[in-house]
Amino acid sequence: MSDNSDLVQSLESTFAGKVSKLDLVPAQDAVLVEVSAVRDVFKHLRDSLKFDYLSSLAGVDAKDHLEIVYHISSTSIKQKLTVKVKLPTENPEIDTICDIYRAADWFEREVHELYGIGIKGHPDLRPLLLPEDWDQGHPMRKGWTGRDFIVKPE
Amino acid sequence: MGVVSKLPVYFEPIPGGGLVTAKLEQVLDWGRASSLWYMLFGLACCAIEMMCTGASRYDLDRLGMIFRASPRQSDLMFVSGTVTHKMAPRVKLLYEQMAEPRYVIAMGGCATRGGPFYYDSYSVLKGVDLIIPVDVYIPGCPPRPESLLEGCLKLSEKVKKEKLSDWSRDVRQ
Ligand code: SF4
Repeated sequence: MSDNSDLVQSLESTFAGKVSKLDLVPAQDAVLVEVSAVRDVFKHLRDSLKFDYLSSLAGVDAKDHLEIVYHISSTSIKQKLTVKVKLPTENPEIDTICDIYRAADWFEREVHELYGIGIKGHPDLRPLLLPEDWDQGHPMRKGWTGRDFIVKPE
Repeated sequence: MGVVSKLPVYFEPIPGGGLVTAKLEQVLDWGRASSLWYMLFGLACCAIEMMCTGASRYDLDRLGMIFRASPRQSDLMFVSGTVTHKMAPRVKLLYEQMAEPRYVIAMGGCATRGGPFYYDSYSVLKGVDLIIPVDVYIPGCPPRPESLLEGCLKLSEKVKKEKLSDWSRDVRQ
């Protein structure tokens, strides 16, 4: 963990102004990345820093904004890194990283259909988990309601 | 008369001969109730309990119930688990592919009424009876194999009481 803080610092200096350190609980190496720099950061992480494994990519609705959280790790240097990106609630859009990490493909489809986040450059954005004929919007957004949705009484 | 003496009461042996008389309705019901072949098909965690019921410890075979891997050869469908909106058309299709008379057991809270996913769920159908008719509901999350066996016995009781005129299942809907 201790020598990993170099990692966050080196990222901060390589992408000055685009990457900032995040303090998360439990303690871990985490950075917040500007939307515009996502592809560059991941290319750098894969090609120069030996991060070869994307273990998860998830959406979060934080009410006033949306987030995408990437967890990547390295099988050769045994390090982990959490990458967060903040997006606006209205017309959120982000570049795909599925050509950098192939594992991102289905995760991005999932985030696209459940949170309504536009994925620019993704080759195939058909619904993955939702039914093919789904027309009820993006069910993981806060405050979403739709057909048969029964809100739990307090 | 060795075999005939073991037959159910509604068989009437003719003294001295090798013949028995019975009502066709009752003979068919007896055959059906004693060989409810179920479809090899499971949806969620309840299916694990169904497999357990089918395996040697609880042994559905004792009731003449063997699984068939095709809806065409099945008499009974256990809806064993959560029916999602995405799965619902497939479940309905499987039901429609079964030959009549066909029976459905809704196993567990999910198949009965959405179960733990009744509230705050965008993906779960609130009960399989919204898309296909159900004969027996079994509560539980998941029901124990004993409950499932009880449900199967309840269904055979029901099948034994059927009239020839009931046999078009659409009448029941
Ligand atoms: S009733 Fe419970 S055990 Fe059965 S499928 Fe639903 S959640 Fe799983």
